[in-house]
Amino acid sequence: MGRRIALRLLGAIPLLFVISLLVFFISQAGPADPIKDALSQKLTAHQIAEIRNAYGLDQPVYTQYVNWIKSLFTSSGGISLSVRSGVWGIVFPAFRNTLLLVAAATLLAVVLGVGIGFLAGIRHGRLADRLTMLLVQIGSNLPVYWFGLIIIWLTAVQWGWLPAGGMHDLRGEGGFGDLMLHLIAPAFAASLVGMLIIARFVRAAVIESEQSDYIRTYRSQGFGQRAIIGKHIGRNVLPPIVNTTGLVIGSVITGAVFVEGIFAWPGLGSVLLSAIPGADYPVIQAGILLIAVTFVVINLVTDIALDLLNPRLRHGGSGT
Amino acid sequence: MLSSRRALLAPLALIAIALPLLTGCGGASSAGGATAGGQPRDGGTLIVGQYQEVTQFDPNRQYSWETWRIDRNIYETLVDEDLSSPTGVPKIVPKLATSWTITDGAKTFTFKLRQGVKFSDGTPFDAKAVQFNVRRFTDPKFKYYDKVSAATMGLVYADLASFKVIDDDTVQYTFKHPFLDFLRQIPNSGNAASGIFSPAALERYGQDGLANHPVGTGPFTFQERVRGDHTTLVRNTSYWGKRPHLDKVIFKPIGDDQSRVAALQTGAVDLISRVPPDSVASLEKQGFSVPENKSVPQIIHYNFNFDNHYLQDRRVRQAIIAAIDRKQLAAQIYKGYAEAATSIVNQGNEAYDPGAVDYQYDPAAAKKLIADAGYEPGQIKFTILSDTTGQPTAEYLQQQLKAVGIDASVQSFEWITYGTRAANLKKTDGLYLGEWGYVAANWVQIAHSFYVAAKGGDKYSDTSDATNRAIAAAADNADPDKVKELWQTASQALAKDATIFPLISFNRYYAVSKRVGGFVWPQQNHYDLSRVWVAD
Repeated sequence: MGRRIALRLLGAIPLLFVISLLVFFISQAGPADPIKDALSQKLTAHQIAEIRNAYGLDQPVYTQYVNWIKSLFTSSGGISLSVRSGVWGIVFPAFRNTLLLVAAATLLAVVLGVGIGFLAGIRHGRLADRLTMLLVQIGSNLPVYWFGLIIIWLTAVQWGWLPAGGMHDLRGEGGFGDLMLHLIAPAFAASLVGMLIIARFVRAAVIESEQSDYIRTYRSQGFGQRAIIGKHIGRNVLPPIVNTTGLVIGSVITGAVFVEGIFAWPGLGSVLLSAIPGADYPVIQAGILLIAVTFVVINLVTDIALDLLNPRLRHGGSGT
Repeated sequence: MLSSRRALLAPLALIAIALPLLTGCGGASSAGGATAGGQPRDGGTLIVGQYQEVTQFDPNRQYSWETWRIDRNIYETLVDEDLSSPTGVPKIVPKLATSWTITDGAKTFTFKLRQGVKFSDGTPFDAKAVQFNVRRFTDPKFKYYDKVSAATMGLVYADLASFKVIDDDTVQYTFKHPFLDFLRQIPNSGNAASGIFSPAALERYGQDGLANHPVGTGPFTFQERVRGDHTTLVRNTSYWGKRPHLDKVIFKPIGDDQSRVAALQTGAVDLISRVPPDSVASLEKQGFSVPENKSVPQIIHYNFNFDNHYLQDRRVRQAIIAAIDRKQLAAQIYKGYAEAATSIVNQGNEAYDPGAVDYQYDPAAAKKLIADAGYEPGQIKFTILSDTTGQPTAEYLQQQLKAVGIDASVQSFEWITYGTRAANLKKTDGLYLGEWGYVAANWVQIAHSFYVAAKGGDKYSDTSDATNRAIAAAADNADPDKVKELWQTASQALAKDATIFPLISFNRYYAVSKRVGGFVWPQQNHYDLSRVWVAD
């Protein structure tokens, strides 16, 4: 077991190296030019060349790559081209805010998704199930952007229950309650797609489990519904829930990037959206790298969790 | 057994979410805030919702109007404009200089500096401080010379011949050519901002550090910036001038149009910029003020891609301009909250001429021009590049171009990617969006130099020599009485080349909550916050 985990951890290292190369060279290969884009309409070619030189952007690409990797291991993480302050100082606080949003959204997605899926699965084929699935179908096709705007319009503008955006009340003292109040709507918007994916998986797993022979056997032997659901169906649908949740976090992170824009949530998505127009490479690269690392970590954790949930592996089986 | 009540819970929860979406939902909306009333009040916090994340708080390196709307509260300029009136070209008024003389045929500008002014870090503002500022972007031998600043500031200072400290309170700028617009360019916004920073701050924090530790002499000082979230300024308690009413100003970027409007509606912010035309009427109905200004020096224009084969023919460019009904565009797409622009000399410019029309709307003439150029209907094809907010405009153009036999396709991008795309044009691209505009009359020269000359456009017009001569004549003029006439002549010459395509100017832009008093939208691309107050 320990060996499996160690192997998975080791496997992540070359993966991270490849990711760093991709992150760097994709942004280099793109048409963007940090100086030209921001100022080209307002500067001459000579002036642009001067600025490029001042920022070291005229050095060979591999030198820039090495410089970038080196800078990642400094306390500043390099210097933002547009704001001229340390990259980590910009990226880490934003990342923390994104993690908070993603964690809240994932929690909502899992709790509500599992709840909806379970209830629909148990009532398989009945009206309640069909109605739920219809709404799941509609919900899955809602664009996150549009859904976010509707939530703002309803909860903030029309009903006045929740703030229209931001992470805290700029007029107030802040605090935990204020933060939670600001978190609800964006977390819900970011969770929607993942929640419905989980709901569908859980429903399918519950139905499959319910129709399996051993459940029928239990039932024929007079086990109560509560015991069957709790002890047997519940345990059997757990691995797919963990597996799907791992995948869903990915969609939640992607959704969060858009949600942050709509809800003015000061996370990594907002930072990236504002860094891209200025082609602020150091910030964009660090931000994307951080997201990539997050994905790698989540996959690792999911894999390890699945290993732990798999009794065959837990009892020392060789696995595949 | 599960009770049927619990079984129904899940679909019910979803219905509760979905129902308002499906029915569209009604409900009255409450417009926020108390009325500020007629009496100015000291104290309180103003929160501004900006439509873009700002660049950096270094006057010599910053760009974008939204950035200057913050920076100008921290950094002051030698002269300023009186922004207290919503109409009229703002008068040049003393700021860090108390008086000035213009000599040597408008080449030499001598400023008497205000005495007793201190930067907010306590160091004195004097001739030496101004010299430090100017040398930073003009003198390669200076220890604190900065290439980036030099490149940005070149827009105004490229032809500076010399800078002299006459005495502790007197400085002198001498240009290689007459530069009547110098005074007007000093308080101008966007890029090449002439705000004076504290030399001690630059020495202490370095070239890159100034942006994060901005120190000037202004009515507000910098407190913090959380990128992507907000920037906070607080009142400068030792300000040399009149006490500003506000104690604190917070600027918050809210890039999404609808979210920005919602933030205003819920009272999260007090003032927003760039109100989408669709929201003007509803905001007004809810009691927000959406002032009208038909002379703000802003213009939305399209630029021609001179690498596109078709557009190298002036007749085709002329046909494109003649094919578009700009009045109808302003009325329909912008719902009347914009004015048709028929000259690159924007409304609110010192040389603005409301009667100037580059080419009248005339689809028949456009068709003939295309035929004269030797093209069949449908033969000319190109792409129009726009950001997503400008997409309806681009589609309007597409439709009207189709009517004269030009086959245009529209590609729109989030404005973040638009900048990149527009800086890397393909040969198949025809038109791409731009936005700028000035009060200063030499805007004609700036527009020509950046959108035409620098892009190789002059060689595709047989009248461009005349244009360049007319621009040079206006730029070289030292007689204030001839400014208007000469720049108008230059702009007429430029219009003949059909090398730039003016489209519209906004007449609504800001929306203000009732709790705000004293806000004026002047004839400029920024506003003065020192006279603004908020209700309790």
